[in-house]
Amino acid sequence: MTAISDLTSTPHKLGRAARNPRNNSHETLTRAAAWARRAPLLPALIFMIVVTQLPFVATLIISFIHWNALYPNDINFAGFGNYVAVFTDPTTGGSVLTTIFITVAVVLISLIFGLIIALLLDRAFWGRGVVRTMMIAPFLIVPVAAALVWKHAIFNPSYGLLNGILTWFWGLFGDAAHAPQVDWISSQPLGAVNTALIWQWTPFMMLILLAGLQGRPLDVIEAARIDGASTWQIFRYMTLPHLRPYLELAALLGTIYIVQNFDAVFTITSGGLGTANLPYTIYQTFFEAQDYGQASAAGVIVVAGSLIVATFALRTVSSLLKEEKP
Amino acid sequence: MTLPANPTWAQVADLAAKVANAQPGMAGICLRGQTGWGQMIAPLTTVVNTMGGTWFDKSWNAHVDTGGFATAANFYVDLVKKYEEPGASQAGFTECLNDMTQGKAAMWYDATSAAGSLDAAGSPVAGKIGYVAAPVDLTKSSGWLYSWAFGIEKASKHQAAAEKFIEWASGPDYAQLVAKTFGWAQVPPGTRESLYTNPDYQKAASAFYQQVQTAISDANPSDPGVQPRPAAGIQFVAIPEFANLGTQASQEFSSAIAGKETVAQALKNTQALAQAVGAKYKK
Repeated sequence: MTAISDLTSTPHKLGRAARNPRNNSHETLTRAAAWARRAPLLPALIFMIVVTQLPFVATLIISFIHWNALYPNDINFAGFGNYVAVFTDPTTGGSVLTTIFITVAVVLISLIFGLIIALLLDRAFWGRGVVRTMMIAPFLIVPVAAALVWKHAIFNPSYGLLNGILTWFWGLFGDAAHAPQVDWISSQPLGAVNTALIWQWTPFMMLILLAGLQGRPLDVIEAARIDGASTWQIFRYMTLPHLRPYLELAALLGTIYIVQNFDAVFTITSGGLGTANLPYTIYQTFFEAQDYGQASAAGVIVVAGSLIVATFALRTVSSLLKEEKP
Repeated sequence: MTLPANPTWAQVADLAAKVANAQPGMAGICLRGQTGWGQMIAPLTTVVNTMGGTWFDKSWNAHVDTGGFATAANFYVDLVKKYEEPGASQAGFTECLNDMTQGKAAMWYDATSAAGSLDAAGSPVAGKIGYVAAPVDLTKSSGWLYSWAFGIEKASKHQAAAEKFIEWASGPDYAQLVAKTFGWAQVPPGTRESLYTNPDYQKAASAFYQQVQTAISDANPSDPGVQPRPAAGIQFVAIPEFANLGTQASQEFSSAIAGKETVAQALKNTQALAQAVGAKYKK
């Protein structure tokens, strides 16, 4: 309609219309195109907001309420009372330290193992596909089931695999009755939990690092080899820098998931023997003490802490990725 | 080995020392050591009761680190550390049942419901186990009392159907069904009085049915120890906070069993926790 009225209007209007129609319709076209591109994403965005943000807002609200389910008539606004309670609770400090220890140990060790296995799987050999599938298997197992296997089938001092191997080995020398039967979980509770977690998360690290290794520019490495660089030099000066963003991505994702890990702690040690991490303490506050307000406050604190750590980590990763762009 | 029908804890401890390693790899006794107010605190509290201790006195003062409680805790942890299978601090009901069934433990102190599993058809130790009353010290009886109950959720849309199910599952026909499928020894004990006068059950469960019946009738939840209590409960204190208190206490005692801390330290920490709970009830 605009075009037709412009055609019948005075020359200077025609001139302006002649100058602007491409810009106007180009703008509308761009806006319309933008909406057409993004509108189909709206349902997913709305779903994500509803599923992740609404529960968080609800938790935030509950964290300001004094609400103990054992006393349903005693619900009132508590201000920051729950947060004070969480910070002054003697078990919170221990939980935070335990969480940090478990996360750092599991992420570092599974990253190193994952790197070694990825390097081994990087070269083609007969049966590589089968080996790769078997290596991924631990990550696919339900975490509770994996923890149960470790607790009963492997660590158990009476009928577990490790003590069975010790008995068999001592039996080779005819002394099976005196084989040392170590109580693995009681003597090294955190070590037991960490071992189960490392076993499950090494495949995850391996997958990410294998993707990074297979994206290496092989011609540059060929050139380096021709120039006389040793395998170690190639690894240290060429492979590792190329892998750096992958290593950091794997570490970031691993940290986020292992901070939240509950299954291993709950199943293997029931949170005892000094292995109670933050998710377990929140579970205990919520389900045993039935203090919904305090548990919510602890949950909010954990999320806030994770956000701070993740922000710094993400900044590092994205700055490195920017460097990598040509 | 023999024990009198109403043994004392001293006799049990003596016997544990004698039978340890009677067969290679056999522990003297299996006691629960797993974290949880319903796991380890249950048998521990019965030992506390019979040795003259209590969680709280009538005025809600906590008595954890003194008297009978301290004696009982030290006795329990010592007995476990000396004569139990390694891995005691993760041993709950299931682990001890496994150990007992596989002949890895000579004695076991736990719920009467285990008798059916131990003497079930197909159990390697069926017919080889004798059953006696819970060991005592200063009281006449010391068995605990707990019940597993059915509940219907208020929000349920099938309440009538749930009620029918409950009537069936706790009725005489169910007992017959279990007897036909698994044998009379496996019928859930302590559900119907008629079970204990049933001659088939009496024959299949001859090793233990009388002891179970006596244990249930002898239990006295309002007066389980040597002193008056502020709340009912034999192996627990019937207040809502006990679930959390018991679990936190069990973490302390579990650590003591694993050798990560002394019993004295565990008692001190538990006393502080219990006092905080008792303070809420004092007013």
